[in-house]
Amino acid sequence: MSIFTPTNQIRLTNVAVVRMKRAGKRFEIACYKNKVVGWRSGVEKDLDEVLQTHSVFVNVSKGQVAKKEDLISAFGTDDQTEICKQILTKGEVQVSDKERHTQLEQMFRDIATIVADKCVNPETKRPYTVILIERAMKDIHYSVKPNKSTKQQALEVIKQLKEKMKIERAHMRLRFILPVNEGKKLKEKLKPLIKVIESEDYNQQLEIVCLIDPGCFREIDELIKKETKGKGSLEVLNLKDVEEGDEKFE
Amino acid sequence: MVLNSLDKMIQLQKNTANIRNICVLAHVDHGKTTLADCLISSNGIISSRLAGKLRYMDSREDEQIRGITMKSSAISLHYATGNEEYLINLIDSPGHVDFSSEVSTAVRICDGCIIVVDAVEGICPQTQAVLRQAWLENIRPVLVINKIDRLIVELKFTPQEAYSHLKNILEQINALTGTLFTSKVLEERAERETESQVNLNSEQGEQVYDWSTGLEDTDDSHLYFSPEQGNVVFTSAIDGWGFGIEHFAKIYSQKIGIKKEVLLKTLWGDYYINMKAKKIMKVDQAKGKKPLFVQLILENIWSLYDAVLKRDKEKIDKIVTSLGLKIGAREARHSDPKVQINAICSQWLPISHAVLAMVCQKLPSPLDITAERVEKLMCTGSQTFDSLPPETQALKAGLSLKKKLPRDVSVQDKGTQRSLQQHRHRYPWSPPRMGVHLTQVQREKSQEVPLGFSAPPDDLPPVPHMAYCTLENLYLLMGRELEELEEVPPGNVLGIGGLQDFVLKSATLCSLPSCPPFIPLNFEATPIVRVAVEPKHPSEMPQLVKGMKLLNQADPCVQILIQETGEHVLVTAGEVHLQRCLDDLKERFAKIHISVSEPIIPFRETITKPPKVDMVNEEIGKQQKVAVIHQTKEDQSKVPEGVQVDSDGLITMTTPNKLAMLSVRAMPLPEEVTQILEENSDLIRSMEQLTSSLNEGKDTQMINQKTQEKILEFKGKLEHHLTGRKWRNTVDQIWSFGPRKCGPNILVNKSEDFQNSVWPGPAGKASKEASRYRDLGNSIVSGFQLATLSGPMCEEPLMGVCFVLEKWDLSKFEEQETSDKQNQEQSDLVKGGQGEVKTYSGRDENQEQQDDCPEPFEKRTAQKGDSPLTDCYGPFSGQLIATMKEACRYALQVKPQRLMAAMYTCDIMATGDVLGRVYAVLSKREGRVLQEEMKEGTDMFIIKAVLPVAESFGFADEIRKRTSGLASPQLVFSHWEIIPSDPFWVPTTEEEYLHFGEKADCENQARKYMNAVRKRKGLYVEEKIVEHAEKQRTLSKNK
Repeated sequence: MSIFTPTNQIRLTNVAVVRMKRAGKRFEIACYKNKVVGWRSGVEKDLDEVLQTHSVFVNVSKGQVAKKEDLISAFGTDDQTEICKQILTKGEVQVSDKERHTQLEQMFRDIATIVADKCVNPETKRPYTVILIERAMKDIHYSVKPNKSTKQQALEVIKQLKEKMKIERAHMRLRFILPVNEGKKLKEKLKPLIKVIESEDYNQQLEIVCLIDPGCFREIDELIKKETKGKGSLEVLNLKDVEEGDEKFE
Repeated sequence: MVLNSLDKMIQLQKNTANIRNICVLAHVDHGKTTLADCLISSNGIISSRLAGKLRYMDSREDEQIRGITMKSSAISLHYATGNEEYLINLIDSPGHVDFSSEVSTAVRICDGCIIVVDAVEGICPQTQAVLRQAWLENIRPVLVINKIDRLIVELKFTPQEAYSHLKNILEQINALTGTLFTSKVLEERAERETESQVNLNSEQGEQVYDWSTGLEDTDDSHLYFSPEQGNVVFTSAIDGWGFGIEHFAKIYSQKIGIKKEVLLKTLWGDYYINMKAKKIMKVDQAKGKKPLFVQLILENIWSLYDAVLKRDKEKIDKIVTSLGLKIGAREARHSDPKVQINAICSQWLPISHAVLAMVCQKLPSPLDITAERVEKLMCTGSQTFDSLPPETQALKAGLSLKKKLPRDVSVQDKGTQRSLQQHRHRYPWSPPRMGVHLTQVQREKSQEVPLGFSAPPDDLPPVPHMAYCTLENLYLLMGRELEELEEVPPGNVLGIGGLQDFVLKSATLCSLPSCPPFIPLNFEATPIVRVAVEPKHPSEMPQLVKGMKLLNQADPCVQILIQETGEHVLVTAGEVHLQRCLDDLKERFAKIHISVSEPIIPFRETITKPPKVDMVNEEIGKQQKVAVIHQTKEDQSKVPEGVQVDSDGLITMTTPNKLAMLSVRAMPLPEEVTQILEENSDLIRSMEQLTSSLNEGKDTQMINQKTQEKILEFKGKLEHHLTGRKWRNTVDQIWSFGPRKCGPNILVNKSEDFQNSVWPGPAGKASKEASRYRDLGNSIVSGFQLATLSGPMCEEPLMGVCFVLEKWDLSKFEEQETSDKQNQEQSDLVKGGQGEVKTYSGRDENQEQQDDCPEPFEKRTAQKGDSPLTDCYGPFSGQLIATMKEACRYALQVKPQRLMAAMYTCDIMATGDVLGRVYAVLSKREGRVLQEEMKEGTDMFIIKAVLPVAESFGFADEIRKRTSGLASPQLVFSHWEIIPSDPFWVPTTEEEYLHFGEKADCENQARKYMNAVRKRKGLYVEEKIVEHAEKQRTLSKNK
């Protein structure tokens, strides 16, 4: 970093530029930082809190204002405020530091909440708290990817957490009702997918209540459909098998 | 340098009549531990120079650092007077209000207590509390007025002033005893009255009213403290001196030649001596005569202090020689006057002698336990002693009649009873024993406690939680050390090892099963400060759980819960107590790093009837709405396209493949119905099991008669409350309850061909009902369950909402089914391309929908194999679930939504003068006072209030601080309550603008809670990242 020398160049501070291409021309508007996303989500309702000035530029940093005829040809109007609003909602945004920060934080929380929701401590069959999961995620240095859905990332996190602590996805309780003749054969095939068989009942039909890992659900579903040709049925009894109610140490 | 060997102690233990089990009680910082130090130094366990500075009984590190006692500890002392030798089992208790549970334990073990009062501060809140506890346990107190030296050195009182000050304190404490006595008498009288009233009513006889309070007939003179009775001593523990009246009476009776008895009566009180006539007369204040106490006692002490502080060498020597004392050269030359005073006074008026003599004379031995106390201990609740089995009653004889049982009773002897109240200690070096530690074999029975004893079973009425165990080790408690013993005779305080598997917090140990468990301890403080505890490293969870179990065992006043959310909650009596528990957990029990946080607060979501008035109490609809900026924009975002909303809140939605259509409406349930549903959740669950077994065609005989009746009764109650046109036939049409199939929300099916209600119908009909809709119906119910599990406001469960399914149109679906076969191949292809199965409620579905990318096909909660109708939107059943769920959500959102907060009922005991401050704290925390009444016979008020759980963090601490400890709250969860404010409220009318301003930025309680929960869960919160755009830091970073 060199010594500060006075220049006649005025740096833009506290400015976020929103750009849009229309009719082969680029238009820009000058906004305040950390405000555009708020405007888009409808939290900020005061336009003057978002726009530095109501004029539309061709280049904000050079201070070149867009020509009137260009505006009319691109937007069909020369009402600058109206055009500003259009650009605000449709243009490409520079995401500012605080906006990005809150977004990531929110996603991080969201992932932790999903993980806490889906998983249990296999020893106690009780869920972990969100705070604990958040800390564990920081421990494994998980970094949030802003362009991936939180659910996908949560599943990834679960995989990684399993190496560090005792955590498991909460089991799902299912009931199959299978025709007898195919039941035996099918059961063998289902076995590797089932975690615990809670009850088996041979009546006119084979009825099995069991716990499975939710990840295997689709596989089981398809298997049953294919093998029984629609005669067997599958019912979800419980989405997650967790201990209910409070427990007091005695 | 231990003067008394272990053998001596063992020998003393055998003489039960000369054992005194006492505890020291007082307000915090009134000098309990210092007094204990002085007593210990008399036994040579610690040096007398260190007495008062060492605080021997405070063996924990944090006790020494903070300078307050946190755990009771016991020590056995030897005291000889004349030719009698006494064993004194002394228990030092903490004075801080947070540890009053320790006091309760100590009081239970002892036969007598020393109440210490600071001569300067006088009666303090904890003094009242401990006095009350001693009173409730029926043990005899003696009074020590401590820190007399402060009157001389700090306050510079003259002896006359000091005398009136002391008299004042004595009066106060006696007044307190008086109140306790009156309230007890009044209580007894009230009891008698109710009893007699019962009798009278049956007889219809003439009633004679007895207006006397019964106070007149009850003698209470023996209860009060007064120096002439010998149950008060004046001390300065820090300077090591103390005296009772008796000491001086003895001296002066020789000196002046007045009878000792006369002096005893007149030394305290308004008497003066006429030296010439050698006569004692009543004081005439006007003549300026000094009372005897001032003249003969206080003035001497004052002059001694005066001499020493002024370094008047000659005078000191004169006093010392006249008293016949020998002062070591070292002390005499010491520059600090305190040392000199200590040296002189501790020889002249040794504190240990004064206190211990009083203890031995005035407090009862274990043999003298009153019959009243025995009966009280053995009868729990309203049980009377007569109702106990005869074997048990026989025990009382052994307890109360001072009958000495033969010495060599064998182990199996049934006429004896040992009961142990336990109390733990801290022995860092022996973890297995640490949890359990009894300080006491209750002394009244004359039986030795042999090692390896286990109680024989017997066929007596069953007592819950009874277990047989073997006592492994017996210990003599010596402050911070333990001495192992072979046997302990009755009437002693002792430690027992090897009970950690049997005893939690407290237990009654007895060699006979006929002994009833003693009544639970009277805790002055109940645990109310809640925090959530977590390990710093998530992998250390098992250690934490183990540590918390140990802590739970070791502390009588701690509660530990695991909540449904997986939180480990620690409930303690106060902030200081909490700190100690956490330290224990970190350093001793769990040995891991832990983090502490505010516990998660649960909420419920519900809807209400549309309000009739707005926020400024104007009728709605009459004013003109002011156009609010972007108001329209907001309304749009609530309900996406593809959903039809009627003006009365009916939502119609079709599945993504346009084959089925559902119409759902949400209605608030009346409060009583919600309550009934809450109460009967177990019944609903069993009903659910019943219906499912019915559906499978199983035997219906399994339902027993009782459940049938209960179900009918439950149904009747619901019908009773759900009356009116709106609710007609509703009860019969109930389809399901939710969430988890047993919650306080209802799904009602009002479509015409519905016949599958939750009510178990006559057998046969239900089993035949394997209708074409059954499986699809299940999906709809699943959708309802998911919707009730997490509401739209902050993903908390719903409560008190009724969803009505008005119409369902599946006809298209059936048509489709026939042409199904052709579709199948094609759909199989599509299916391969889809991602992971989402089996959970799509949490942020709401937003996703708003983003115009509805992907409910991802959420397939249950799939039926019966119709493999899958198109590009996934299996049909999954679509149905998602559609139902969404429909329910929108149905809620078009109604006025409200948040429900969990409420505590809060009982506060407070004296009249702090009432105002109690109210201030309550109203600051959104509490509401329900009632307030005065407790009969006392100046205490009992206030009943409700307080939201969300506001309770730190409540107990704040209220104690604000009222200087004179009010103590108790919190118990009571119910759910709707928060009246609308979380989405914005001002719309002219008046509201005037009142609240455009932004309505004054506190909205419901919104505050909602946003806090949303933030915690990582949900989207409507909050500006930066409030004022211009006020950001405008410099760029590279400049």
